[in-house]
Amino acid sequence: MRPAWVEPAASNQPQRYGPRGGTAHEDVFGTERTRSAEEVPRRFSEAVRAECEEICGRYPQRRAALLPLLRVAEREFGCVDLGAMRLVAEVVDVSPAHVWGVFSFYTHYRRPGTGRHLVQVCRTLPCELRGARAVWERLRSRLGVGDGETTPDGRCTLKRVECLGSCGTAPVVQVDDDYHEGLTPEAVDRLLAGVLGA
Amino acid sequence: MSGAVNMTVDGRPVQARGGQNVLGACLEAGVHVPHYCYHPGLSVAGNCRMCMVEIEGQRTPTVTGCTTPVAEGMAVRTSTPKVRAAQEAVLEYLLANHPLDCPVCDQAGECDLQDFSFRHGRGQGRFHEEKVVKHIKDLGPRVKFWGTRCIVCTRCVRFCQEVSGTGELSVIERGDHSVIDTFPGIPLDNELAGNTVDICPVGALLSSDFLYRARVWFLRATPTVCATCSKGCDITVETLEGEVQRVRPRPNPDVNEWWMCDRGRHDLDYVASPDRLASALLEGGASATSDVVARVAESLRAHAGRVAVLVSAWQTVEAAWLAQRLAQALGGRTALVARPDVPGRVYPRFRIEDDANPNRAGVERVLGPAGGPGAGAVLADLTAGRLTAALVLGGMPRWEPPPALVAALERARFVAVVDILRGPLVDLADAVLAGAAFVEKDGVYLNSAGRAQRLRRALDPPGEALCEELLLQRLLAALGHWEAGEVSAGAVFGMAAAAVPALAGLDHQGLGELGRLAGVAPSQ
Repeated sequence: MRPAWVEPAASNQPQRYGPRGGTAHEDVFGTERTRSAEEVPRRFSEAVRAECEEICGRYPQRRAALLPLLRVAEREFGCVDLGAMRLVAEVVDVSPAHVWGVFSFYTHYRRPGTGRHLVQVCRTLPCELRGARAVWERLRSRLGVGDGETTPDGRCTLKRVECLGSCGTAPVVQVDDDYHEGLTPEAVDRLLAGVLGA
Repeated sequence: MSGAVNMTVDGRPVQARGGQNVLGACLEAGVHVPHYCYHPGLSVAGNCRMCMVEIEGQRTPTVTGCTTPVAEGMAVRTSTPKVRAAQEAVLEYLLANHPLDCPVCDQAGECDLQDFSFRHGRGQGRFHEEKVVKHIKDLGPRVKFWGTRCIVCTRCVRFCQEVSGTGELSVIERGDHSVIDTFPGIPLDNELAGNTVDICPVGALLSSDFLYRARVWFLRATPTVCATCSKGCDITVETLEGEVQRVRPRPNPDVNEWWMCDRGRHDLDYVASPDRLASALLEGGASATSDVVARVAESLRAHAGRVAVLVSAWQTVEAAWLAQRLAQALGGRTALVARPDVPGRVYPRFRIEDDANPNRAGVERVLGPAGGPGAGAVLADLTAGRLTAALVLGGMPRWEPPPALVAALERARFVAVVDILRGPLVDLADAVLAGAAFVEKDGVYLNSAGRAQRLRRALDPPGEALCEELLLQRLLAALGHWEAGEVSAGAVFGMAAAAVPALAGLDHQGLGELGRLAGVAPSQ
């Protein structure tokens, strides 16, 4: 008989570890949210299929088209979910796990459950030096949500991300497809009143 | 790309192959360079940063040996202060989020994190932050995953992409959150999945089957050959307290490279089955082996000239040759019996054979064209009463004897069976001798490519059971046809090799760890 204590934890729930603590990370990547959403079968229309073929044709290997095709899937289905990843895997001829790995590496694709607006706050060093933390704190307190969370009304999903590639205009926040540059907490208030309608 | 490249490693001249990387050349030259992500059977990833070496005259202070091609005149240093500092730093990073739960980890004792920390680590961690804790889960029915212990070397991911071609695994998320995972709903369930556990350099991937069964340093390892199909993968059988605890592949570039299939790993339950025969039986009742041997010899002699000797494709070359001798002594006829094919599978870099018998090639060569391959003519003669007695050398687990064979044996006036498990043939036999499973005996198997490889005894047969080559020697002696006394499988193989042209020039010692092709002269 094996003693009961040796069985590993059956779930993926956060657990404490070690004398100094240490906790399972919060779902800032949205991975758990993506994983736990029920898989919906996804299909591309003939026209989108043709668009996919055109994109694949730009590269020497089909798998190189993976990132732009995830964008296509995001546009078609409103987010990249498990069904979309399985579909893209089939189009570029790689395993679904490979797509899952590539997709989850990036923060900028919309996960299932993402609000109408996706607010990405850069937290890499140049933005940090130029006041990103104050910008983040203002967004967080005004929206009342934490990293990776969505407002209860489904309007905004807030997350901190790595370099958005606009260090010259730091600190930067990306709202959907647009950069908002050189922000201050006051500029955040204007942004919230304007685009985000909060 | 090819051709010899002359270089030095720590001042010692080393000859490498063109196109080889520095790490591979060092390892082949017997120089220890610690590494995690590099595996000779997989593509180079260069992500663990452990195999740092210094190359004289290069501006970079240290480079990873696995990603640096060898070059003529290159001078490699594997243990300079810079190299040691790099190794210490890499290990400190790798252990930053590691739980250090070695007391309850199955990998303990054969863990590269433990061993390299001992040899190359700095001994103290300086990490004061909270550890990132990753998921602990089943990746598939036979493989468990501890993300906490994982160093994300991606050996398992590359294995599933390159060797099995099934691609179930991937690294998800990034940075210190990187973790191995499957796509939801597509578990790691291919028949080569067990290899990911073997190649995991730490305790991240563990076998569900072996989980918490034993501390590995108590296991006794015996090199032998897998019997599940005719591929004949080289394996190590690890035993403790008289039971098989674990089966792992042994690298053999000419047979199985570094791998084996999960069928072979999990095919050994029958060895400890309650249905194992542990003593000889006479008319269904347990009897002394010596009495049953005498009775079988006497009965077969009474049917001399009308005896069928059926040899299974699970018997060793030695047992098959002795069975052939016995048939000659009795004026009998031999035939091969085998398990029906089980559909194999072809993976990009591994093939599971259809033939579910480990030694068909060996038994066929020993019995010769007259003795095999089909048992049809012999069965017909048994059914027609032209043959009146039979000796069956079985030993095939999970085998349902075909109805034609059972019917033919039911017609025989005397049937003796040597087997390892109870079954229809044991039930109908007049006399039964208990034999040994393949992990319980020495001998030689020939795989489907005709490669002769040695079986080695990892366990004792249960109770009174004996290896078939001993039982057959005793039968031959009782018939007055064995002068040699009781000799080892190696000695029997020597006699067989002298008598069977297809085995010429082979002997146990010469087969070594990796075997040799039968019918080919010893290499120069």
